[in-house]
Amino acid sequence: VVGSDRVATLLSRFKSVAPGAVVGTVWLNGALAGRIDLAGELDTAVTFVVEDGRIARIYAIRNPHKLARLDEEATLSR
Amino acid sequence: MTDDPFVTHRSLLFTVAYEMLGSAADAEDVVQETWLRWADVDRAEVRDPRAYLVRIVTRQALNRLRTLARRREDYVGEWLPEPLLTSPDVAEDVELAESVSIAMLTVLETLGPPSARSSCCARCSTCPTPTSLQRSTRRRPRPGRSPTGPGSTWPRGGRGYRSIVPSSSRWSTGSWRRCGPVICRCCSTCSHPTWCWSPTVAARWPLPASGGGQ
Repeated sequence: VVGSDRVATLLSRFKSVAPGAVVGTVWLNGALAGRIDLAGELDTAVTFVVEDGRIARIYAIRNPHKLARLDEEATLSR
Repeated sequence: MTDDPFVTHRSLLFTVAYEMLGSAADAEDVVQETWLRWADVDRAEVRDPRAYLVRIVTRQALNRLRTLARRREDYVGEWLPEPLLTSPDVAEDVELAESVSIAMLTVLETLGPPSARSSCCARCSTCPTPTSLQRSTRRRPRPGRSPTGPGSTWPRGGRGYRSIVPSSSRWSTGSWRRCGPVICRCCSTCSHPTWCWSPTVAARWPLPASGGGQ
């Protein structure tokens, strides 16, 4: 979905598409991200690419295999 | 056994593996494999355990990437990395946060051969002398050739990496573009050669005739 108008239209309908969804924030990969819980379980991780202070892309990750470890914080270092 | 270098550097090893693979599960496996290798090593022979461990983990991750690359070729839609739950502290380390950002990992996936990509990530994440990056050659399309045409080593997809990588980041301010396969060139300038990726990658991506090969 490309274009701010179309994305905004889509997001404005979110409530009716997923009535029971609980949306929260979470730190993912060193950035603020969103999590959407459906029926008490993590359903979607939403990450943002911010460019010049504006959201350039929104990635939604729903693959359950990729969300399996999100209950435990990873320690990163260099 | 808290003074075991492996334990000390475990989170670094995980970070390197994750940056290369974009998957926490695979990164964890690779770190385990690294431990197995490390357990067999004669420690007295190792001068710099940190560099040595990073090298093992890079190689193991590269092996894993080759296997994964085949699987991801059949991936439906755009491949996205496995997100990682991080502490807010990570965001304060701008370089670290950037190197593990979803945007960066997604871009790296679109880069061609895994070897090029891994040399790039391993390099950027571990090299203590980032200035050597600046000296490496800019990755430009050759004149008259489409940067995304056949045989191109540029990120696939046409839309390119620019729009994915935050413009405020150092990646889009120039160093990223120098950070493709030709990254190997800066191995020769690096003050920590053990941290650089193998010469086979360099051989596969011959250095351009012109440009600084310091």
